[in-house]
Amino acid sequence: MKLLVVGHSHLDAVRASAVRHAGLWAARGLALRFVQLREPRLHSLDPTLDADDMGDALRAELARQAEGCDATLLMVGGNAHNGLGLFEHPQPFDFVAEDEPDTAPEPGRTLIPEPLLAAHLAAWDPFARPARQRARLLALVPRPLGQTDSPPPLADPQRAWASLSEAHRQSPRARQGLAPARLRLKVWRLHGRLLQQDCRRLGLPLLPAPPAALGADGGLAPACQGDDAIHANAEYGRLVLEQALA
Amino acid sequence: MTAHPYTDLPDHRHWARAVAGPAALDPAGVDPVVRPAFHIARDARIATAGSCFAQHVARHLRRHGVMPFVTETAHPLIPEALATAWGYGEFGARYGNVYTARQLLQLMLRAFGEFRPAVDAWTLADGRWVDPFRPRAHPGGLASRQALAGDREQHFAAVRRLFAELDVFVFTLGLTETWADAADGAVYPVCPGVVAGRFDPQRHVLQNHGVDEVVADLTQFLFLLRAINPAARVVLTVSPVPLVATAEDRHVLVATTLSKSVLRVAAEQVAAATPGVAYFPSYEIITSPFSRGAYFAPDLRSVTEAGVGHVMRLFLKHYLGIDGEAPVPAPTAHVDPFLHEAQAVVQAMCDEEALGRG
Repeated sequence: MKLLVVGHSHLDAVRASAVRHAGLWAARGLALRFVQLREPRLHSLDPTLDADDMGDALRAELARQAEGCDATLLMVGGNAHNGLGLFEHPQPFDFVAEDEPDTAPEPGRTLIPEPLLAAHLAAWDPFARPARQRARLLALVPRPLGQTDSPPPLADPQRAWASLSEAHRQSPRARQGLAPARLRLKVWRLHGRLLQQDCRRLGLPLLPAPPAALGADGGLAPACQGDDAIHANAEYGRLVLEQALA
Repeated sequence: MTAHPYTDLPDHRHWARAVAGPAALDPAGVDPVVRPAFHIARDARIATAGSCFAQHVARHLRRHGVMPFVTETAHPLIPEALATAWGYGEFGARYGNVYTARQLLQLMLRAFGEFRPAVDAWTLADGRWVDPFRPRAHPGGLASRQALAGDREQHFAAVRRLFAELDVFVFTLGLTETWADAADGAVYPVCPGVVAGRFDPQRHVLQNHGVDEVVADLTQFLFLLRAINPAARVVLTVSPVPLVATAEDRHVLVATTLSKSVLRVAAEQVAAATPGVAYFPSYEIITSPFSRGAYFAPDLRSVTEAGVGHVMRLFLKHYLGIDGEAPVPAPTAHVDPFLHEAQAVVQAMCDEEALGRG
């Protein structure tokens, strides 16, 4: 099978698996092609880029890579939740998550009604723009298998903080440190629910984070941790492919 | 001819000189405010509440550079337009429309833990939850009673702070008719079943408050307010907006006139009897014949912007000393820098990921 993988930075976990587990995928008859939507020649260096960050160079690359492919795996977007919930806000907030409706929020934090936070996240450009891209890509790629959910955050606060570069740890936004793990996980799940709604609207399956990639704490398993606080590694990429092909 | 009480009356006491005459030149020239009860500083903490007409007060204060006192603001993450759609900033706190004096008193009692209604949550058809006393506060409802309870406690904290710290409270009385829970007297801003909840004829009863009841409710509210904020001053006004519908078996025009008359008399009695409480004639400005109906929209209910402008121009002039000043430009909508900065860090990580791959 020839599988086209199209998306943003999270596709690098699958790309890493294509290298690390090349023998496995070759034995399974799987050939992989990749289109990274923010690759400079397809993005910042393309003067025909429109408001959705899609231009002639991207369309040409998609057509080239899609040639002969049997199916497509979309890994578009998937980091809006980190923009919202990775770092502690100067006015710490919390919300009652729809999937934990009876769990009390943390005291001492400003409570935001979940539907209000969801409306904000859904309309925010880091979520909304990939959503528009996803809809347009459906017409440009062969047989979409689905869109993947983002990898869960690292729950362990020390591992998560240690995974930040020194520069990021020193950034003004990191002044209050990372948001509590419970909140980071809730925001990730909220993002997943919004992604599910968007995929449902498009008639596209949402492929959840592989269960084996989740640690006992509900966050990303250490074996799947990538090089920073928000990305996963080749092992995670392998699990994603196994799930997509199942 | 001997002198009598009508000899040498000032102009404002003569209809021809104070109403018909000025109106013939320009209805905007009619000014029924003779002397304000007190002066309000521009930087005073002015909180508003009341029926739908009350929403105009905060809006016009902002337009003239007077920031209303609001204690329940949206989290800075939430864009202004979205916050406004969810009722933030509409009034002093996110209590929604407060139509009756009884509802206002109830708000005070609930916020300070003096009254806990037996029913404090309604369900929508899809099982989500809304606040019976703020049925429009959460569009689409919330997922659980827990979520509703948390939001309510945060709201009450904001209400307590509002009443404790305000300098002036502007309250627009709207209705006398209300629906109540017969079990404990809790009153609802909207009849159960209209927006949410289920109407139970065995439990939900119509109340149509008379003058004595409105006076008693306002008096008790003021007593409680002054207990925590002795210097608080209050401006009472009556909404000119007619009833959408009456639950009484009478013509809605008749019901409207009765309701507004009750509220007008009650406001007068309370203002006359209570130092630091003033009556402001919004009702008279909008409904009196001098405007020849120009202050009502074609539906004969909504008040036109010209009418609202007339009311607020006189309020600002007489109570804040703001006269003839052009509106100030609306401030640029607030954008939380946190999101931009946090997203920049995340994007940098994403780009670094790509470089690392290379």
